[in-house]
Amino acid sequence: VIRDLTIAGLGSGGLYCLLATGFALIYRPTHQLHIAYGVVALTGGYLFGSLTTSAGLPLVLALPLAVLIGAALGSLVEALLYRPLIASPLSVLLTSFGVVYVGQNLLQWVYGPGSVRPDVSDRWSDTVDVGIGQMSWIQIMLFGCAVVVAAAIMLALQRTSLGRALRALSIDREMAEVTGLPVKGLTTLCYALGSGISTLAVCIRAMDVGVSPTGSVSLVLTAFVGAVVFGQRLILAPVGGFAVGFLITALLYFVSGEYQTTSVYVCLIVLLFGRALTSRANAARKQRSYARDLAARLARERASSAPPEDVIDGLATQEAGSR
Amino acid sequence: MNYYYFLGTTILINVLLSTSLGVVLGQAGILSLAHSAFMSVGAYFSSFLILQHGAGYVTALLGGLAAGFVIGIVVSWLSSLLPESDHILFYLAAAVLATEVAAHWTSITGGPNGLVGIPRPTVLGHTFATQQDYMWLVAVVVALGLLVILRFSSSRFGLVVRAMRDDPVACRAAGWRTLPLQMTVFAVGSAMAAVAGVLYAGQLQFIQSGAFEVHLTLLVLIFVVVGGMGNVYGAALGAVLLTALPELLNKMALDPTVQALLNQVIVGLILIAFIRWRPSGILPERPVARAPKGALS
Repeated sequence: VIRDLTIAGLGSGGLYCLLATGFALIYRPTHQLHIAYGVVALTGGYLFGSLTTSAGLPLVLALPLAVLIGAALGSLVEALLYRPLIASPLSVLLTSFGVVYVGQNLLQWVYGPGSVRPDVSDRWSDTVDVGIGQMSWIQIMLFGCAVVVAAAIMLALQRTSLGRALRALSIDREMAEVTGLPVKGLTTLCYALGSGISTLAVCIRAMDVGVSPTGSVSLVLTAFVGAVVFGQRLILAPVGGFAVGFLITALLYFVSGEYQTTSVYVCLIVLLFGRALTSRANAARKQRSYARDLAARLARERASSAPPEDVIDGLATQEAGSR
Repeated sequence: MNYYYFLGTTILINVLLSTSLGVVLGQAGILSLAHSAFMSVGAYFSSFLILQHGAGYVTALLGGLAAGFVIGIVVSWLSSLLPESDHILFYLAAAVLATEVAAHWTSITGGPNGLVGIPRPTVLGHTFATQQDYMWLVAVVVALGLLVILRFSSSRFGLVVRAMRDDPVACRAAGWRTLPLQMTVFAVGSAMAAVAGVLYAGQLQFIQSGAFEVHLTLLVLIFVVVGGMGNVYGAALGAVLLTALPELLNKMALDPTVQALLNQVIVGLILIAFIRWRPSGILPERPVARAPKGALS
C-alpha cells in the first residue's frame, strides 16, 4: 500500500507543487487573490489540446508553445484588467470573478462541456520501473518538472537580484516601490511566471485525463491551500504543494469513489483551519514568553535598584503627616 | 401569459437574493461566496419539512429562515478563526462542499436526483396553485424580506455595520465588538438567502444540487455590483435588469445551449465593465445625511 501511495503521490505531488508554486508567485508578491488563475491555466490546457490535434504539432513544440500562451494570457489579464484597479483590492477580486465567469463560459462554448484530450502518443502512458514500483511517463514528467521548477524558483529567490526584488515585494509592496523597484514590471512578470507554471501543470495532466471546463475552482482552491499551508514565505509554497498532493492521494486511496470530492474539500478546509490555529497558538506563545521576560526584568530591576520596603513605608507616613 | 408570471416570480426571488447579498457585501464588506449555499439550505430544509414531516408552508418557510440564520452564524464564526486573507477561499470551499453534501446526502436531499414533487404552498386553506397566484405570494414574502432589509440598513445597527466596514479599528475603539456585529449581519443575509431558496423550491417544485453551485453566487454578485453595492434599491434594480436581460437576448434565437453560454459571457463582461468604469453601480450608496435617532447615545 505504502509503495503504491508513494508512486501516485509523487505524480500528484508534482502536479500540486507546480500549481501551488505558480499561485504563490502571483499571490505573495502582488497580494492579489487571482481567482482567475485556474481559468487561465485551463485555457492554456485547451489550447495545448488544439495545438496537438488541429494543428498537429508534436509534443515538444506544442507544450512550450502552450506554456508561453498561458503566460501571455496571465500577464494580459493583469495588465489590461487588474492594473487600472490596483488602488482597490476588492475591485481586483471582483474583476477576477468576472474573468472566471466569462472564461469558463467561453471555454464551454468553444470546446463543449465534455473533457478534451490532447493527441499525444500513447507511449507517454506506458509505465517504467523506477526502483520502488511502476510509474507512468506522465507521472515522471510531472514530478521531474516540479522538482526542476521548484529548485529553479527557490534558487532564484535566494541568489538572484530579481528573486530578492520579488521577496521584497512580497514583504512590503509600498516600501519596494519607494526604493525604486519597477513594481509594475515585476507584477507582470509574476503573472507571466505563475500562469506559465500552472499551464505547464494542467497540460501535462491533460495528457493523462484531459481538461474539462469546470475544474477551475477546485484548481485554485488546492493551489491556494498548498501555497499557504506551511506559512507566509514564498519559498515554502512548493513544499506545501507537494504535501497537499500526497495528502490528497492518500485520501483518494482510502475514501470510496462517491465521496472523494467531498473528502478533498473537507481536507482542504481542515488544513486551512489547522494552519490558522497553529499560527494563532504560536503568536499567543510568543506573547506569553515576552510577558514572562518583561516580568522577570522588572523583578530584577526592582531587586537591584528599588529602595528597601521600610523606606517606602516611611516616605508614605511622612507624606500623610505633612498633609 | 404564464411565461411572464414565471419570469416575474424569478425576478422577485432574485431581488431578495441580491438585496440580501447587498447587505452582507455592500454594507458589511464581507464577500460571502457561500450565498448560493444558504439558498440551498433554505430550499432543502423547507422541502424536507414539507415532504417528510408534512409541515405547513408557513412552518417550512420559518424553518428555512431559521436554518439559514443558524448556519450563517456558524459559518461566520468559523471564518472569524481564519486570517482575513483566507476568508474568500474558505467561503468558496464551503460553497463547493455544500453542493457536494447536497449531492450525496440522499436521505434528506434526494442525492443526485434531487427532490421531486414539492407541492405548491397552501396558506390559510388557500392553495397557490397557478403561476399567477404563486407570484403574488412570492411578492408578499419578498416585500416582507425587503422591509426587514431596509429597516436593518437604515437602523442604528446598520449604521454601525457600515462604520465597521469602513474602519474596523475605529469601530472597536468606539466600544463596539465587531465579531458579533459581523456574525449578525452575515446571518441576516444568509437567512434572507434561505427564504429565497424556499420560494425557489416552491416555484420549480423540484430542486437539485446543481442549481445551487458557486456560479449562482457569482451571478448574484454581478446583480449587486451592477446595481450598486451598499444601496438596497440598487441591488434590487440590478437583479431586475440582469434577470430580464437574458430574456431579451434570447430574442436572437440561437441554439439554446449556445445562447445560454453567450448570455453568461455578456453578463460577465458587464460586470468587468462596471467595475472598471462605474464601480459604485447604477445607484451608488448614499452617504448618511443624518444620524438615526439614538445613534450617538
